[in-house]
Amino acid sequence: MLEFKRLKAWEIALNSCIRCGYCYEHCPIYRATGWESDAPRGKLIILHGLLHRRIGLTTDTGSKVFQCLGCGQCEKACSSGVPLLDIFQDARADIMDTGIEVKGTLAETDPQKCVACLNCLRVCPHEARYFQDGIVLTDPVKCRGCGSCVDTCSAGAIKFETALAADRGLIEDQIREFVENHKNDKKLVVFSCNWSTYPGLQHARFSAQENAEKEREPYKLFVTACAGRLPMELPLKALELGAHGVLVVHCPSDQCDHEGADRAKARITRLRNFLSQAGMDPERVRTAEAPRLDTKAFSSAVSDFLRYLGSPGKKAATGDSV
Amino acid sequence: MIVAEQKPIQAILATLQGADSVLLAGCRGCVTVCGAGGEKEVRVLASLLKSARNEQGRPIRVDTAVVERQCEPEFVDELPYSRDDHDAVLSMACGAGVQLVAERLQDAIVLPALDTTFIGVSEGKGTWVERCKACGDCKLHLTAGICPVTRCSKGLLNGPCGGSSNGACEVDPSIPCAWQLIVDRLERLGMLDRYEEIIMPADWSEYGKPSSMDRGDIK
Repeated sequence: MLEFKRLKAWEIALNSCIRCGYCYEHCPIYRATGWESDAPRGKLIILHGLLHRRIGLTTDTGSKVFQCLGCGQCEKACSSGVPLLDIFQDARADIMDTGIEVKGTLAETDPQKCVACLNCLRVCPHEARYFQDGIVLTDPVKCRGCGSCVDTCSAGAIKFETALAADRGLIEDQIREFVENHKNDKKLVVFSCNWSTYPGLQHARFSAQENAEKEREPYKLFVTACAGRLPMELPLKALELGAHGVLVVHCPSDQCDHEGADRAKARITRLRNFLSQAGMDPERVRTAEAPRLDTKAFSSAVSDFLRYLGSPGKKAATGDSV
Repeated sequence: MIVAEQKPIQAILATLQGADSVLLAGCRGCVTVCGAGGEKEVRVLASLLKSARNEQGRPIRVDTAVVERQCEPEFVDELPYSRDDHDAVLSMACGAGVQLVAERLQDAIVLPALDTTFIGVSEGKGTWVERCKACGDCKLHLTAGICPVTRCSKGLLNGPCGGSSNGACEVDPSIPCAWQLIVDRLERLGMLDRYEEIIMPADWSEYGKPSSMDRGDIK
């Protein structure tokens, strides 16, 4: 018997959603999948349906609230003040109580690869990883999909069913295409945290005109969930594929909910040391801090970097072996 | 576990000077646990080597493989090494693994990508510390579970020396004095009388010679 005890307590809040849809454009999941049922409003409608037994609980319907990075952008945009994150959290707990299998933006362990080193368990800022039967597993209720665990896993055992913009193979393909399309430019690959700069940037680039301009710019933007999720090999891969520079944009440390800003900075520092040791210009990989919604910090970091890459006589300008 | 760290990249590149293709081999044993030679580190090093050599104008082909443990012959034999395809094997295992690869692949040039540093334990996020010298003559029952051979800078079996100061070692004040730790713990355990016992010199006659073990019961 399905009870949804916790969700029931939110019935008034569920009813207060006026379906205005302001939450849509802010949701990174909706942006990635394009499914209305992945947008915050769609999730609320599904939860309302589950609670009132108008739709059945299946892996498909039950998994929707597990497709969420907990960024809270929807809550900030909500015209009715619906506490979406709390509702989703309680719905997750109710759904897990039913024992149904769920999928989503959750860290998944490959049991064939996990060596139980426990590194992921120690770094998870949400205490969502636990050790059981020889491997480290994820608590789907607690996991926020920040990906902090991914690059700490030396065994390569952690992946996401919904990788969003952090799918390694997908990003590599897009970098290849970008490099191919900008053969004669000093190419810059930019990885940006979803929470810091991207929401503002998204507004700034909403029109088709601006998108067309973006295509001509010699930089390619990838929005990952949290900068701390960025695997170290991706900036390297970008250089290997022919990018001249790689910029990683992250939140200020005190604004990151996932300790990801510090993690990203530490990884890029290590990477820059590697580049120095290898006789390559470490300035080709940089980090930049951008507070939430501050597009100026982002723009100037990109412009400075492009200027550096384009300056004659700079060491960076030697990477022409594309 | 055995703890290792990656060699400086320039040292690895120097050993690969004459090679145009290499098999980069990771290990899913201790070096994966300590983040030095697992699947991720193999990917990072492969990419780095290719980029560095591209920049030098001497591209290198880097094939990769990760085996369960490079200290087992059956797993090492799974390495997809081919003399025609690879000028060398660059092993991301501990020194023992590198040597077994060399032993099994008789015609291969086998190079180490890691420096094997110590036998140790994890102290939390990204931190490992040495705890055992593999001396072969364990005295931990006499020293409250704290090894003076490993943790005393002088390896004293009957310490502390005169350089112990406020719980710190005179050799390096950032290291706690092992004998201070031992005495404190014996006291906590109500076993301070054990400190009166003189620990006899260890039998070092076998130490440093190549060791081996032959267990008939598991043959």
